[in-house]
Amino acid sequence: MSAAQAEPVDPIFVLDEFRLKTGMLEPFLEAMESRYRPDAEARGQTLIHTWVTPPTTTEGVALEVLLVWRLEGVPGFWRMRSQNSTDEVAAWWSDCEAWIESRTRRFAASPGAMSGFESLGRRNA
Amino acid sequence: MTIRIVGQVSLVEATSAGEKQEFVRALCESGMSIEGAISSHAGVHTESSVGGGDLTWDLRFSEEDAVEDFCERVKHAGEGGIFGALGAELALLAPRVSSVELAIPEAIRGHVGVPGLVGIKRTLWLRVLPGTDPAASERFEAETPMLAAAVPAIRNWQWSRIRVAAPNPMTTRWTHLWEQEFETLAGLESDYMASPCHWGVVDRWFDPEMPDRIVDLWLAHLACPATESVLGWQAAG
Repeated sequence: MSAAQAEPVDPIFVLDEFRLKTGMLEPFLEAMESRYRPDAEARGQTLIHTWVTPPTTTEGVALEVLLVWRLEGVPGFWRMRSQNSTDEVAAWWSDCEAWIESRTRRFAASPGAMSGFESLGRRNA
Repeated sequence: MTIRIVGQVSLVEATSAGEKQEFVRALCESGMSIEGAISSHAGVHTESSVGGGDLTWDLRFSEEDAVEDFCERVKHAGEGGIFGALGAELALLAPRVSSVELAIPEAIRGHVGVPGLVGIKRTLWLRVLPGTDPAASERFEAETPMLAAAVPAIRNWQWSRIRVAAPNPMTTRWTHLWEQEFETLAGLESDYMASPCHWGVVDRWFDPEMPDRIVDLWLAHLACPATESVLGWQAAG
């Protein structure tokens, strides 16, 4: 199969959830856009959604930010992983403590892609 | 009951590929001259191996006393002189060695599905960071064997802590060994790397961007040809 005929790659999604400190929505998003996103996208991690929940500025309501990034399948995952062990990345996550109470990162895919991903790990079963 | 010692051996600079293969053959034979050793296996690392020496060496002993004697000799030799301290036959190989790291794996879990396997042995040397929450370390230790269930190309495997109590051959920076045997390199480089259990579950303990990470970024990912199943030694008694 030539490169032009290559099968489409199911994307892997990176789900970043941040529980923000009070009043830190704008500073966090500005820092993420300027300090983290450019290098992350250079590693093949493309930002596709930025969500805030709950979507209100009511005083006393704690906010969370959900970032959804896209990786180009398993090759994209390992391309990202081969480039993220840097001092800059480590400093970014360390500095995030100024804006966030806690965070999680998870990886996800569409339900329809799951069997395909499983089969990739069983080609030489 | 047998005891296995796992090593990574670095050879002096400018050792050619052919010389490495010759060294491995000599080490398989000479290892048997160590008092109490009943098996010796070595393999040159594949080009995709990173973070460790030039070859993996597995030694098997049948008696704890022999292991104790081995450890005593190694301890007093210092890292650069280990081969010189292990008898005349290994001393002949010493000038070609630049460093040796040795560890005794103490199995947390393991399985030998194909005891007669000839293929690829992969050893991941890793260090859980000092100060890690014991509960997190327990979860990591419980999850790692899930990879063996998710990747059938892993025919044999052993997940171990490195022995820190005496006798052990040396103080080492590593805390755990994750060893697998595959029939082909594709099982490791294709199936193992592509499994969603790998990148979607277990890798979070290793990923510097994950808040869950507890494993030091310096890993030794070492694969070599296996002319026999060293993980099957235990099953063979």
